[in-house]
Amino acid sequence: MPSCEIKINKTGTQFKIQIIGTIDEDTNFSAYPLTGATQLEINLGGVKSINSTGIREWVNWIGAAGGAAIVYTNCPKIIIDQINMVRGFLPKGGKVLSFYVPYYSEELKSEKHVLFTFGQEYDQTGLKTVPSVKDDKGNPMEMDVIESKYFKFLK
Amino acid sequence: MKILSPKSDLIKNISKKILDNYVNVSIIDASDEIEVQNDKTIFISQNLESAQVVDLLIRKRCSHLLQMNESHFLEDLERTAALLENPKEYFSSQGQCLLKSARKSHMIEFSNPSDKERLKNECSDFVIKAKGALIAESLDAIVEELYMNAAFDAPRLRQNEKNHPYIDGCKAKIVLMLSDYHLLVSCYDPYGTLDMMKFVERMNEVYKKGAGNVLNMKKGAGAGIGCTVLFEHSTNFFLGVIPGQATVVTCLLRTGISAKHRAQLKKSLHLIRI
Repeated sequence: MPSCEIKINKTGTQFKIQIIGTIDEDTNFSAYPLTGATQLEINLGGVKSINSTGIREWVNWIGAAGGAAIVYTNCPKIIIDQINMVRGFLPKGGKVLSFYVPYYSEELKSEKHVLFTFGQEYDQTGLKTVPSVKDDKGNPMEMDVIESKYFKFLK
Repeated sequence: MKILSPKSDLIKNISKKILDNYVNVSIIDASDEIEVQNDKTIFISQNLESAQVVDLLIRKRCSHLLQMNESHFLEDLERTAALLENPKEYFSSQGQCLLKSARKSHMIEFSNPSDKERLKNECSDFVIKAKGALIAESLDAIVEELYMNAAFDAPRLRQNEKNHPYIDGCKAKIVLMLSDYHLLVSCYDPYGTLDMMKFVERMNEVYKKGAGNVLNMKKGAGAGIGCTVLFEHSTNFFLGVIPGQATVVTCLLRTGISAKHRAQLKKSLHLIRI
């Protein structure tokens, strides 16, 4: 039973796609061919998890988009991890317009996920301004990633 | 323990109390070039990255590569030594012997794809109170891969045989355990088809060539990168097989710390045989 919902909105050759749920062995991307698209905007904010089979299916599917201009938005950490680890997860020339960065509070042992947006916190040259984030008691939180690894895809 | 690297700075500071136990176990500095014949040997290191751990395990043909982190090393050492002295307990306890300090545990049985949603929900409920960052995300990633191995890969490797444990009513099991500092996730399947050296060599290939370059694109088979997903989400990673009978794969993660801190911990890798 599919645990992933895929919504496609087409305006001519511009496809806006939203993915919600788990990308895994039950995800059937073939029902959503990308042929004919010249622009693809994929909102990944609703992705909860992705397993190794899902990674393969994704690479196959997005690889068939040909020369379309591809952008990903609202990428959770699990997607950024795949972009950094798996060649082809974000096709060559593809861009990430927004993604989440986890922050952690040592005092409260709590997490927050902060959205970084292209043109604000980063641009084509890398990180620009790193936002200051506080936990619910006002304590400063730290970026909870190894920066050289997590932001590798920006280079 | 027999110390095979008496001049090693790594081993010098290990307390005599531990070294006086486990008389059948040897310990060696992984950087030492001495050839080791005894398969009850623990190789010790401290600064290896994931890819280097796998590479060294293959090159040295060792079964236990244990890395020192700033805390819990002595606990890790005793755990490994106990495994070497009594590997049967690893299988009979389905990995639970690795976390005797656990204050909470849960076991979930499964045998077919319709069990997956229930399995993931129960895992998610279990870890809800675990302290530390992104534990739920790591647990989810681990459970996805353990489930795939047990539900699909293990049976596929016995497809030409008459005996199919899941059809005969046997179940795979995922065990979850939580202590003050660790989360343990262990998966048992009744097939015993995992080839540990092939698994480790595949990890080596993924690290050397890059996951995207070695993805198995063939439908009906795994993608071939789940092995590294499991290792990357673990602090200590254990593989054990009794051929034809049982496979037990265990991930041990540090809790109570940030995800960044956990990712910076040096990883250990263990192969368990009887």
